[in-house]
Amino acid sequence: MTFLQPWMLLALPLLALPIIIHLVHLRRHQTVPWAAMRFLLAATKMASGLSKLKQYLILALRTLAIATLVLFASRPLISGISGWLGAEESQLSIVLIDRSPSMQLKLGETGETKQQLAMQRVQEWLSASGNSKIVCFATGYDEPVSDLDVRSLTSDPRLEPTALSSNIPLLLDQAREYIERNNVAKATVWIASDLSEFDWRTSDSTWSVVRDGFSKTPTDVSFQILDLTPQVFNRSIKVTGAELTDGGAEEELQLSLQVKSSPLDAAPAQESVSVELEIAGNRTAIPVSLERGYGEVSRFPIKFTAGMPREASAVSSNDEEKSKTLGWGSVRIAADANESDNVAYFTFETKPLRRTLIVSDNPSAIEAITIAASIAPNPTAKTSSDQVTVKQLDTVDWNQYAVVVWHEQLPTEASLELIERFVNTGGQILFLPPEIPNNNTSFGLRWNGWESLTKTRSAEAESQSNSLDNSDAAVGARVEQWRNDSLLLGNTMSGTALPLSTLQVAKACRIAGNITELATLEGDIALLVRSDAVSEQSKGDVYALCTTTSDENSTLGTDGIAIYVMIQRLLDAGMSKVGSAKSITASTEQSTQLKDSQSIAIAQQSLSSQQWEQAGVFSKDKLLIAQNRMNEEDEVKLVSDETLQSVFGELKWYRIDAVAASNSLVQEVWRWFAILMLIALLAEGILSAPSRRAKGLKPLFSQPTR
Amino acid sequence: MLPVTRSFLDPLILSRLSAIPLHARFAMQGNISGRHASPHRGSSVEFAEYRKYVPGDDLRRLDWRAFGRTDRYYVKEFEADTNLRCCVVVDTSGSMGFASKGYPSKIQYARSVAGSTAYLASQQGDSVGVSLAAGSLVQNIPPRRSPAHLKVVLDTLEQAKTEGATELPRILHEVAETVRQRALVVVISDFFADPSEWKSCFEHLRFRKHDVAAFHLLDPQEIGFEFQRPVRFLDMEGGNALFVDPIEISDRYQLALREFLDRMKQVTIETGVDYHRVITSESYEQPLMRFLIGRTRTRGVR
Repeated sequence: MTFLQPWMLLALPLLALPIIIHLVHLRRHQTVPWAAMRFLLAATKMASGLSKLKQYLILALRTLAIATLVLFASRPLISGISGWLGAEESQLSIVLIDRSPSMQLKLGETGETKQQLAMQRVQEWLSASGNSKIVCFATGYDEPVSDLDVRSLTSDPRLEPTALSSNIPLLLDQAREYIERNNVAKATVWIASDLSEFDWRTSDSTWSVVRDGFSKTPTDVSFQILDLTPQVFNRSIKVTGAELTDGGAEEELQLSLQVKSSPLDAAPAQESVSVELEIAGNRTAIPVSLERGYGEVSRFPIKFTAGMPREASAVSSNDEEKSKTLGWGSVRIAADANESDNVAYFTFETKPLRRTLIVSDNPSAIEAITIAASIAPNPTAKTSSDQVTVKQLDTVDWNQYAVVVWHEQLPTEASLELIERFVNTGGQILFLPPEIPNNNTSFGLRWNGWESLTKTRSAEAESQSNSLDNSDAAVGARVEQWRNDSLLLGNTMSGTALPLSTLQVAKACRIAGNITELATLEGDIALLVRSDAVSEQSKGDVYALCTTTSDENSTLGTDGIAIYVMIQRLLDAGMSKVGSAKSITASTEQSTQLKDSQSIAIAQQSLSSQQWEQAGVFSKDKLLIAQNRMNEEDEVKLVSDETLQSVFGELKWYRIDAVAASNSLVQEVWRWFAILMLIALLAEGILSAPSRRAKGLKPLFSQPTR
Repeated sequence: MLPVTRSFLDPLILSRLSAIPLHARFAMQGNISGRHASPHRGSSVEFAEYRKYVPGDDLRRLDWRAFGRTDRYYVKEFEADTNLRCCVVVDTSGSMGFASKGYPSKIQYARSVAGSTAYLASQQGDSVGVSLAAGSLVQNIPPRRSPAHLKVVLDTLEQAKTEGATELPRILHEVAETVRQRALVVVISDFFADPSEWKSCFEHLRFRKHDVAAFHLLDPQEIGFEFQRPVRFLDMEGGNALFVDPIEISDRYQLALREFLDRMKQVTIETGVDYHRVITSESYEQPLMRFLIGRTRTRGVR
């Protein structure tokens, strides 16, 4: 309990007043000579313990009346059971603020978002309890927000909403580290979050670290979770695809988007929503019909006319790219309860070339791969492949290539560095064994030497090897098994398995190292492996094939479907690094990606210097990046009490209804003290009143007049 | 006229009271002729009975008319009237000194009642004596009927001082034994002792054929017990002081007092005592008037 006028508590010694008066009253007695002592003695004997108790009770009531009067004048504040726990001024108040888009949902007609309401409640309570010093951890910050005061909690631009999703266990872990670092004796952690399951990441292993850390720390920590659960009807929009097709003089942008209502059951059965589309300053409206709260537009065509600007020139350098279209746009729905999910950004560009770089001193040995890399999978896609030797690597513009096929000794030193950088940025690499492999090790891979797998063709084998046209060709090992859930060897979209069973490998170079086998040959020889030694930050993958496509080594070249599919799939995966139009989702982990970018369009203008935390379009290093909130922010699933119990375990946690506590968490309770005082005085009056004459006890004599 | 004027006696009251004779409720045994019925035959004008003549009887008392009619000797007998011995016992224990503000103390009141009774009895030729009783029989003036004796009695009353604890029950036993039979014993006290003790001594007095009258004096404050602040009560008979909050025990005090008075009433009814409860705030004329009138109605019992 805290007081608005604590100096009034100086009057508490007045509590002794009734006792002093009682004692003085006893001393102020009169002395009377008395004749009828026998009745006095009889009456005193009859005076039971109840009478004494009554006396003490009256005294206690008088003291209570004064105590309540003093407390009443001190204007006490309480805030429920959780408030009592956090009311001590001496303890540290740590505030965790979830700044994710789902926290921007407005509650009721007041127009306050969940985040504003939560921060306001925390501010009110902490101000009233005299806790002016707080430590604040917020989404997007690795360290506590510095120099933050309770008074500025709701107005500090650094705590403005973001498009980032939160990671509550990570924030808690930061708070734990702070507590341990500063040897805090007692702390209350206020969690201002909407209990979104995605932000709370209840299945994250960090929770066990948090739980163990807090239970081991000597600090007395309690957690106050602000309950902001009321759901308000809201619509959100997101772009699911923006693809620019090459239509000759007129390019066409095919835009796919989704509009979703939340909660779905509150949405009308049928409705139409107008979506405002903006591309390069031009605006148009697309009607989207929603059925039971959900509507989708797939490949909505937008033709580029001559008048429309092509922003590529602004970011492209060479002549080839100057003809390329690069742009961005946004889709927006009408304002509703949550402003942050009413807009989605996208970028688009002319599809870049699907380029493969073949590094080989003997390109003829892998000619099939060159062919596979040069044939486009569909008419709109353009592919090309270039061949270089190791010595020419320095001249390569790595940004143009999606895949590197390396048919050379495994790279070392300078060349390895280039390849690593390529892989880290999302490039895909396929290693093929050189004719005479050395002992180099790259990406945890090592060639162990060629091995002939040719065997005498049996009648049975002969009957099965229909695919081998050349009867003199090697009859090698077959593919024994392969992983059809992997990227390269997965089934086709129609569910058909790749025709790997018909492949034969006559010569294979054994692959050793830190690998995952994706396909194996008879005799337990790995056909295709993926390196596990690639760093976690790397966006690309490293694969190795145990043979080449030359006829003397395998039927991969002659039966080229498998190698074609593999190369095209590698190109698909590697194309994410090629091109200038990017689309990313804002998450805490990736928030630094846009740190030095320049914002082109931004959803919410903020005073904060960290504008890259907002949804919008940013340019960085010739790239045009559209950043949107994560999809999970639109579909808020709340964490249940049971889950909270499981994630917090034995820790002390309380859930405070921040919405229902309309007059803040803190309440002035002087009224209760006034009522208590009145009750005490009334009870004292009743007990002190001269008792009525005992029943039937009439006056013995009427007082005669003289 | 009052032989000697006393502060505790009011001539006007006495003159009004003199109009009513003081009668004994029972036959008295005086030594001279008086106003009161005697258990013996005497020479009054009131015929009692005929009795057969026995040798030795005074021949002058033979009823010759009866002899003429019946030829037998009868002696005619008449009732005897005698005087009474009035023995006034005044309690002079410490408790009798109590007086609430504006009212006479109980001893003052007792003086008035006792003095008036003595005067009335003396005026009609009865013997009057007085006994002052506290821890012991402080002073005892035996009943005599000379006017000079009345002065002694009044002087004794005037000089009476309250002191010490009361031993009145024991002294009443002593009075019952020492005073000759068939006397009027008037006890004036606050009777602050166990009623069973009073019962014992009243029975003793009645056994000795005394006519016992009791004036029970109570102060208005003793009945009302109206105190507001805590009071330290000092026992007037020398007991321990008692510190109490009157508000707390008022009810229980009243209960105890009522119980005591009820028992006193019961005791006096059972023992045939002429009991008069008196509050010292009323004039002593009233209880004396009730006392005298009550006796007028019961006169003639022999």
